[in-house]
Amino acid sequence: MILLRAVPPELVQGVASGLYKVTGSVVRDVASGRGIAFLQETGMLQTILNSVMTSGGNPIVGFANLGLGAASVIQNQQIKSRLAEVQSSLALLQNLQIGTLVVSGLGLGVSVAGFAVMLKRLKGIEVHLGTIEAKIDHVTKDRRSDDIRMIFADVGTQLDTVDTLSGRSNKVSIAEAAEQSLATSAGRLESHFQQKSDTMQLGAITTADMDLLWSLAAAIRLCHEAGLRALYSIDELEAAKQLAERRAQRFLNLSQALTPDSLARLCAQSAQDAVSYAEARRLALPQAEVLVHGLRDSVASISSQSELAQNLIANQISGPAYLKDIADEKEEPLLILPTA
Amino acid sequence: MNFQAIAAQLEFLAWRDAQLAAISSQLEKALPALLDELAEHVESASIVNLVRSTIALKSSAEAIIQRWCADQLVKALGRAEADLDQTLLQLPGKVNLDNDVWEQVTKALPAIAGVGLIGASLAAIPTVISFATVSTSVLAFWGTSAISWPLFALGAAGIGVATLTGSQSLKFAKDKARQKLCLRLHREAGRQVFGIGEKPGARCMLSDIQAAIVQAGRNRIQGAI
Repeated sequence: MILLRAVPPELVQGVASGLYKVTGSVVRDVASGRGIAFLQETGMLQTILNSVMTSGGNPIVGFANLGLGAASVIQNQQIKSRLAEVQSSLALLQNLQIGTLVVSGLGLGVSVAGFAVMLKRLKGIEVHLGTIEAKIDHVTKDRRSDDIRMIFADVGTQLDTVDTLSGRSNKVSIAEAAEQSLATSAGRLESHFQQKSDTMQLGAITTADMDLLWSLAAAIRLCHEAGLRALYSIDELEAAKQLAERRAQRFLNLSQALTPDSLARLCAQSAQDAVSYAEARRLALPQAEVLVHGLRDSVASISSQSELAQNLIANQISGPAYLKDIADEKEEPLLILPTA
Repeated sequence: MNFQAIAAQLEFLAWRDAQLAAISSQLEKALPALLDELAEHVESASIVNLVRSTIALKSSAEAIIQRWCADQLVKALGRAEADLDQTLLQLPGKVNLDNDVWEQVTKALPAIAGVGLIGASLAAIPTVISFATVSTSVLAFWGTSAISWPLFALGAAGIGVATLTGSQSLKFAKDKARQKLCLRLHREAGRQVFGIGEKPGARCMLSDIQAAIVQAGRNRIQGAI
């Protein structure tokens, strides 16, 4: 193993005591703001997540349950508690927003999820979008649904390509093409996100509208993660660094106009008096917070992927070697890479 | 370098989001006191005021709402300024306000400030507002009737007829007129404070307070004021 190692207990204690904080996948010293280490999820994390979600014959959450419902928020808290019980290093996740857990993983480092898992996430988002579309504006939903379905079909094809890169002889050109195609899909999904976000400012909204944004954001993030992995596979770390930086900024721009308060106020817009207005706003606020905080956490996650690429370059670690080490890890769900 | 710029933007957005939500909660919690005061005001109004001086009633009710909002603004200001100080202290690496991280952050600030529901209020509030001046600026702004009041329809004609037909029906008419007026005032307070019944994005006192705080925070961060 190159420089990756198990999460030391003092790091977990440092985060628990407030000495360090986790931003995206970077553990930072609170006082200086300096990065201490990068967190990197391994294939073991997915195995643990699957077991935790179905333990005791009582599944906590499934793909059908993704979204912003109050139940999902509570379920995510349960997942975090159970993860910490299973493995002490996973206590690091207690302070993370893991609302996107089911749809796009934790975003800790480079995604190591296999095609089956990524495709399952994509299908989960697609099915969920279909459910949401039935609840909202009927005029535009058919045209929008058709376009999103086509984008998802493209993304599914590219996920397959990224997953089989290691076995290909001309992997460089194929990886570049896959990355570009995923970036195009992400851009088209961003247009849908922006359009929906703008429309939502014009009238009363429901939680289904927020759920739609949430699902689109999860799909965009999935495209970013798969695209970055393609670049790591062909050792294009400098490109990965620059792209992650730009995408983090684009994701930030997408989410800037959204605030939990304004979304909750829009949900209360049709109230007739101050009492019902306040009730409706308070009811919608937790879900609006999950959405907006999830978007901001995605920004931090993508941004830290840029930092990670820079760190690998500084440590002279190649992308394929890094991916191999993560894939070979069979015991630890989380590893750390000390900063250069 | 750009990591720090993004981290700094995220910190400021977190501050903004927290303030907007806190102002909403604050106004909702404080509203019952305002409604009680308006109800007392109507209860103590003389019959002459009810019948003839609707303009005087309107003006005094307006003054009550504006005074209440000014109190809320002062509370919101104190919280926002203290929280922003904390945010600035906790920024990654305690970045220097002069370095190019801030240049990038400030480039993004106009977009950060253009937040949906408070857009109209932001456009109307002076751009040079600061935490020190926000109170007076916003008060002056409200004083120019930025949020228009429709004239009260008190059912005064009903009272007028009742005065001619006997004391029992006069008392009934007065009570009913007070009740209706109180209801209208409460509805009007909801409209002025939260924009209830208006289109999204229409100005209301909540949006004005939120916009003033965001604008003052932006200016503080930019180091302009």
